[in-house]
Amino acid sequence: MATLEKELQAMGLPEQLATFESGNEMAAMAAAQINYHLMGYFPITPSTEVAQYLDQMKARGEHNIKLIAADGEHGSAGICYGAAVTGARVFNATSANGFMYMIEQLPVQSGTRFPMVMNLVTRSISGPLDIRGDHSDLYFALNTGWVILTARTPQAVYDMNIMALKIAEHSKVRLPVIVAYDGFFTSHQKRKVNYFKDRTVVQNFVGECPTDYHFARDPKKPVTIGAHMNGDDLLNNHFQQSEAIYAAGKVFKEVAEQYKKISGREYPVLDLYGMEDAEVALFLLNSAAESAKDVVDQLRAKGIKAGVMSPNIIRPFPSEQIRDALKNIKALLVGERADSYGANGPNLTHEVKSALQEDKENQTLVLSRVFGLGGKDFYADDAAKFFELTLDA
Amino acid sequence: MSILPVRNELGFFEIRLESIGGLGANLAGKMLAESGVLGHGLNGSNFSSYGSEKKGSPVKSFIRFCDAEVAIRDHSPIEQPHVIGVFHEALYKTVDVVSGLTGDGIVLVNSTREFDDVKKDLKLNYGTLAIVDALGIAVEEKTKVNTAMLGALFRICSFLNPETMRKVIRKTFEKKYPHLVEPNIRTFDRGYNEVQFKTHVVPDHAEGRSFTRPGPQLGYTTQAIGGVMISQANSILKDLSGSRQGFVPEFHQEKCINCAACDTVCPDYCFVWDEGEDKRGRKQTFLKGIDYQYCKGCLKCVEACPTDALNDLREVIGYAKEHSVKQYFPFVGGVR
Repeated sequence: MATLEKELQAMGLPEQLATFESGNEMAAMAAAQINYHLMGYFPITPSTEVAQYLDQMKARGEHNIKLIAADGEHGSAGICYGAAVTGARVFNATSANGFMYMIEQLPVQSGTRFPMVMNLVTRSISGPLDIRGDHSDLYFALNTGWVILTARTPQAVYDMNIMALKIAEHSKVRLPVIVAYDGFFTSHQKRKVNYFKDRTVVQNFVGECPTDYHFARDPKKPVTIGAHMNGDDLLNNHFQQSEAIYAAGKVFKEVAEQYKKISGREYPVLDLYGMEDAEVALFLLNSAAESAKDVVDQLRAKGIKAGVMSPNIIRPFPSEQIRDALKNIKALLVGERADSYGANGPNLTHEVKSALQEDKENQTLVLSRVFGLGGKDFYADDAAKFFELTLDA
Repeated sequence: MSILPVRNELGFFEIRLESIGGLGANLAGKMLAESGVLGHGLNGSNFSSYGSEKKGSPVKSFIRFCDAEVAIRDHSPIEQPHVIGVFHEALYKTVDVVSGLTGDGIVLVNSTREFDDVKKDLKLNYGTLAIVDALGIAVEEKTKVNTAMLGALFRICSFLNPETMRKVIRKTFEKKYPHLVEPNIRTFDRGYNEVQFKTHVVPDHAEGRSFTRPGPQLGYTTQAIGGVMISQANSILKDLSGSRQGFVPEFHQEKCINCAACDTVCPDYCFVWDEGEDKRGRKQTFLKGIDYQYCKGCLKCVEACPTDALNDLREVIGYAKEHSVKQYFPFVGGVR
């Protein structure tokens, strides 16, 4: 990740510039460089800035994205879906209750197989109101049929926004993709970030917008989209959809490999830190995983074999890679920024456990903790406490 | 070779800015961090405390600097900074602004007061105190407090070249507001030149100030279910004086026509009324004065006043207490 500019040039890669920007700014920059056809949006904290920056960039003539302000997120999702069925390249960003308001349309879009990219700037869902970051909105996305990439840093937000479109439009996928990153921790924290100087590098990478699908675009080629289906047909449709989202896992690897070649930055399915010989480990999504890496260094200095694993993609869920990474782990703590009320553990705890059940040899003890709700900070000593729990287990 | 004078165990030189919403500490933090990262080849991060802040609520901005090859993974707020910048002096009443300051740390305060008074209020026993009259400079130059504070912060962070900030200021204003370039550069330079330092000898084995991470007052066994608030009169008991940015309205009763335009625009309970009789013996309501407990210094009333009964006044310590006319809320806290 921390590749220096000089090294990149020495590798003969396209020129990149360094800037000091936040996750929201990098999402907007990627969208502007891709030059989407359309964004239908309705602002909500902490995702507001994405549309705001795009608006400012448009005023400066930096892109041609048609920006349509909606009457609410339900409208914004409708505008995006409507544009997507014409074959347009579509972009959106939202958070929390805004995401909840658009959610009934999201399975419609994935089930009818129209790609787009949406940034979910994760934030706590109301009840009581809290506008800061956790993953309670993201967990509602898990069953929408959208591919979900998780970006831990502002750099990853930029990179994944570029990869996301290529994955979404891939012939084996044809599904909408969410890029999820932590509200405020990643969306508003400014970091040193590299981006391609020449937007054509980005445009060449994502390629031309595919036109060889059935779109509601040409009056001479009418098609019907979203018509009623009986169970027999619906089952087939959903089987295709299931195949497509698993295919997205393989396509992610291909696209990440291609992206590495132009950027020098690597995005494996699982980000593994100190996992090769680890005995205890944490499974954490997004920014918290980065914070925990410093603690791994401290524990290793004391001779404790600790590691952190964090997926870069959670839909499809990388069960196989998780099984491999956990082969020799004695105790794993899955820390989650949201609960699944009454489910005897939050969502990803169950998914990790079920991944491990397929491996009859596996002896890993899986602990589960809910933490950092409503933007509650995750400090190094919190990560240290998690490791203590794995060591006591 | 690192240009950073000191670094913590993760390799960071850390700065925390303590302010209230509206003074531009967030922007100052961003500009400071940007100058270090893009102008000096450091790696760095910058972020602010967020919440449902409105103008006048306490806010913090954080800056981490490290050498270019150091990875920044930590996202959490800075608890033990090397430098603290206090944009709003009255904050020490409600926030422990110097919490966690390292033993050899520097505190910069926007103040017109003497070193010893500020030191006493901050409960600072040793370390370096820096004082700059950022508000005074901003008022004179018709600019903002944050630019003057930035000047002083650059003097403190001597590893940063002030010329990079002058360039940033020029770049920020020259296109849209060219007339603001020179006043802002003057403000920055004055902050840089006018900041005063006083070092109190650091005893041997000096430890940094201890810090406590503020926790919630209730736990899950004591908190009312569903987030219901059962305490009453929050809006009446609150004290908004910490939100003022150096100015208060001054009331001249003899010029008041009791039109209530001030009360109409006031977002709080500042204006205190009394029933009385006019010259002809008819019942009327008269403005008695201002309860400064509720005044956050927005000065909307000064703007709304059709006569000269209200004007803005640079607040000096003690003025509000001396001139407050208290509201009469007999059912909460009794008569005052």
